[in-house]
Amino acid sequence: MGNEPLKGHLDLLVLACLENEPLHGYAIIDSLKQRSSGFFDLPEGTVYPVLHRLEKAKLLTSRWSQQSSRRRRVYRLTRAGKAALAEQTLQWSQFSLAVAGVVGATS
Amino acid sequence: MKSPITIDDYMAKLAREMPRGNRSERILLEIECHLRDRTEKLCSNGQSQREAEAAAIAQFGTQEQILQEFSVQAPIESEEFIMLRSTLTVLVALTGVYAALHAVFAFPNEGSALWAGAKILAATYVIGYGILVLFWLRDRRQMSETLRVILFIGGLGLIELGTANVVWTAHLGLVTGDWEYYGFVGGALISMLGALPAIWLVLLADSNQIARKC
Repeated sequence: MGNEPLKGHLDLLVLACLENEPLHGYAIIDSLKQRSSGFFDLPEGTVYPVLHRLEKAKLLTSRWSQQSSRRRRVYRLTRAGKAALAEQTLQWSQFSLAVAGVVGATS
Repeated sequence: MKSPITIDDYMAKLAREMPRGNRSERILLEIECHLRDRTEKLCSNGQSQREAEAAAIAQFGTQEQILQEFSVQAPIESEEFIMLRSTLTVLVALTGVYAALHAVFAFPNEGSALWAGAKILAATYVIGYGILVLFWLRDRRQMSETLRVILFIGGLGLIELGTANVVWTAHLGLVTGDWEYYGFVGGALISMLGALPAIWLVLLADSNQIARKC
């Protein structure tokens, strides 16, 4: 199916990955792959611009964290980010229900 | 046979091609850290260091892809752009305060309450417009369409107010022989405040060209 369907929903997916705990970019990408059972396998570098954009929109904050020998930039949801996640999750649920209703009705 | 690309090669090319700006160092650090983490993971699965580095890079995407995504989603602001914005911010703040004081104290005193109210209204207008311009300079994309229209119309109004002030000061100078130069300065500053968004857009176009050359 490719990564095209993912692009429109990447914000929601990234926010969802950060719902329970702050993560760095590498861990977000791994979480995305694991939680989708490998379905979402986009060029890993494309996630960083999304993280920076969401941070600029004040949906995320970030700080450096020294883990083992490396400094990693760890991202965390802000209050606005949590609200955006809730709103986008609701929109997605409504959308997927509507699509399922239409597709189910025709099959 | 061509040897596989290493993380050092990849990062060197990315650093060369990335515009220098407020977040470029951070982005480079994040990407290098990511590639080294991925390489470690692949090595632990049995790949050689060279193979793992090449695979990590392949999974990450090309430098062109990364830079393209950043330019679309979260553009890096060049050092020139940041300097320009800081300068204009200070200029707007100073001009706004001076122009507002000018409107209150230097406009002719007619003695009527209506005229005094009009002067205070003019000063509030100048200060309000200055705040709007500062907001606009900070992040244009977050500004609603309505505020953009207000900014445009408000700017035209200020240019008119400033020009009227200059013309009136010149008229008084010609009639009375008393050339109040601060009247020209105040009027010019009021007009300049109104024109600043347009000036900013012109400078921004130049700044973007500079950033592309970096």
